[in-house]
Amino acid sequence: MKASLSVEFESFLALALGEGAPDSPQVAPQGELFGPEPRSPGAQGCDLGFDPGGAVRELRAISPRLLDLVVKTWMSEEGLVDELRLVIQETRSRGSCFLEDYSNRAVRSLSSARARVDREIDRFTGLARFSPRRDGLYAAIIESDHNILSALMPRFALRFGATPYAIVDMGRLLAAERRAGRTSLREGEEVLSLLPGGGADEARDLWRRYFGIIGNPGRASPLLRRRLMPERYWKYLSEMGGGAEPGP
Amino acid sequence: MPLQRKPYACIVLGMELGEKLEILAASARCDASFASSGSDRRPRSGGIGAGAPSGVCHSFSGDGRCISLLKVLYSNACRNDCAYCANRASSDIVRTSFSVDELVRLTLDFYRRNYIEGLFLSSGIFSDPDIVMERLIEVARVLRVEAGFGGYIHLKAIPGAGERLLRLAGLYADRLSINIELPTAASLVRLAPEKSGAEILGAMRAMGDAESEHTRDSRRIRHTPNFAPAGQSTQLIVGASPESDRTIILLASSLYRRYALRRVYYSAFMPVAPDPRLPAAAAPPLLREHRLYQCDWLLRFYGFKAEELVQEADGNFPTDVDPKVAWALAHRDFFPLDVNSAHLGELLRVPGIGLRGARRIVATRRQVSLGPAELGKLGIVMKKARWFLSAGGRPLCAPPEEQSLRLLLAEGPREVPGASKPGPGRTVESQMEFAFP
Ligand code: SF4
Repeated sequence: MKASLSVEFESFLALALGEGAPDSPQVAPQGELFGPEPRSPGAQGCDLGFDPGGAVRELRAISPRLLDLVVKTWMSEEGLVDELRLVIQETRSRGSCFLEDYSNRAVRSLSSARARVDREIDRFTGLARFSPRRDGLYAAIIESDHNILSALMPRFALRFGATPYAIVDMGRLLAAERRAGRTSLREGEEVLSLLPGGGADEARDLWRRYFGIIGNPGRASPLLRRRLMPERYWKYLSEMGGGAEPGP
Repeated sequence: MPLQRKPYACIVLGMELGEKLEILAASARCDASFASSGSDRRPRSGGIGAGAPSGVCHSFSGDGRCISLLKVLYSNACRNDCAYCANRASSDIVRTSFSVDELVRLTLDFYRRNYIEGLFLSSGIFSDPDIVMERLIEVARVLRVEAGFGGYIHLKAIPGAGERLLRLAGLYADRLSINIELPTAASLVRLAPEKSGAEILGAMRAMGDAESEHTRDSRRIRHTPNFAPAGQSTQLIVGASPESDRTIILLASSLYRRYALRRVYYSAFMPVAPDPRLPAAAAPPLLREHRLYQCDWLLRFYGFKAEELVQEADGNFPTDVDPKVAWALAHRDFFPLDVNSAHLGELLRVPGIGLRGARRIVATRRQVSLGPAELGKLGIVMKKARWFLSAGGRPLCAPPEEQSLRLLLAEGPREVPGASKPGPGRTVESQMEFAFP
């Protein structure tokens, strides 16, 4: 099990808090990125005196919205560390209502980044396509603008119940797999072992036929569809001619 | 005069599943309802699926509508002869039916692949209404009880089905709906002679009563089962009959009030077969449909009343400006509003200020005093709002006389969206803010 997502997040958190990055911490990836529990300070393995679990708790105590802003800014991969540092400082001193001061440039930049990330999470909540594999795993491939894997995984936990599922972010070569209630991460070439297989899939063919008929020809509006579902998302959508949604 | 009927019940046997799916999906597509929001149902232990309270769009069809549910008819055989419907008894079309097992399998297979949030199931009236309703309920029961399915189920109430069955349907469904279709009893008699307005409203009342009872019971009894947690909806066809926008929107408003409906859908009429009872074939009135959705949004979220929204003498919304701008132009004395003191309800009446913008104004002005520079940063559409706002006792822009202002606020040529225009991926109802500011 790799720790890269948590490590990256902790480094980002340390920078945003002005603490300097932790030094190669040996951490487990469970925690803020895959569940509500903050990691215990004892698990951090960081020798710069930075306690990510404590930082997360502090941010949450100031305001859950502030913590959300920090996590989503990290997911956005847009940098914005200076803006985040300023917003954290101001929120610490002026209270969480500062997060609603949209006349402040930093608040606006971070709110926009968060909105972009939320939109991307929402998009893939609808557009991730899972294919069953022979081993019973349902796997989906995504290529997202932002690093949303850790936010996306929990969205499917109730959909699949006890059925194992995985999401592979091909752009970042990151993957997460959920089995028996536990989520684990893979990265690099290891993600390839979670890819859907190839082959016939009757349900996928039926879906294509359904999709082909459900639009009302009297109101056809390809431009509107393109605006609502931009072409860059079509790659893994079999109904849009995406060829890369393999079957079992 | 109604066309001569052909037999409606010649169901083709032995049809393969894909063919049935195409026929029964095409038969269902004139129903505008698409939402999968409003339910946070959890799966039973060992089951799969859950409600997504704000709904999810899984794709967009060629007409730009959100695809959220597997929307099909159980059967397209129908003994009624509604003039506007492709499935009417006199239509010369192939008739077929799903089996319960086929529908259950399709729903689960599509759901696991993340193609859909659940099932929308309606049916032609191929037999006694109770029998048709029982088939729909059986599909929902097998999904819920035998497959442990926690995803979304929208069931149509069949006009004429008994109240006991409607109450049973609500125990399995997240949403129930019955389409009123035509806005007056006279049009119903002319275009859908077998339907009865009293029967449709009676079903709405029965479902509303059952919902209220369940809400009351659940306050006292912890394990009261859910009853249609996403409420009920209906649909009105626009342009098949001569009623004005005012008639339609007054009816919608009264349905919201009297039966606590969650949604009224408006569907631009599209002729399916020539019929002397219908207007001559023309392009579907999409702009009219769009204006009705905008107005509906103002009723439900902006605090407007139906009576104040249609000003035009002919009872229809103007085509050049949206209903909120039309109201503002007709109420110049209400403006300008001071952006630093107007309350939320007042701000929501300003063209260019949407729900989110109004909330942002109220939150931000607690920190700083607002002027034009700050407003532009809050996502307010200043080119509309500036004519209606003041700050520090001075109007942001001195408004010109009404006709010039109307020209300034008129909408340019645009693609008129269909009934559904949620942003990609996410949800449906919460993103209808598209229409305003
Ligand atoms: S009852 Fe329903 S399916 Fe039958 S003709 Fe009327 S609208 Fe169509």
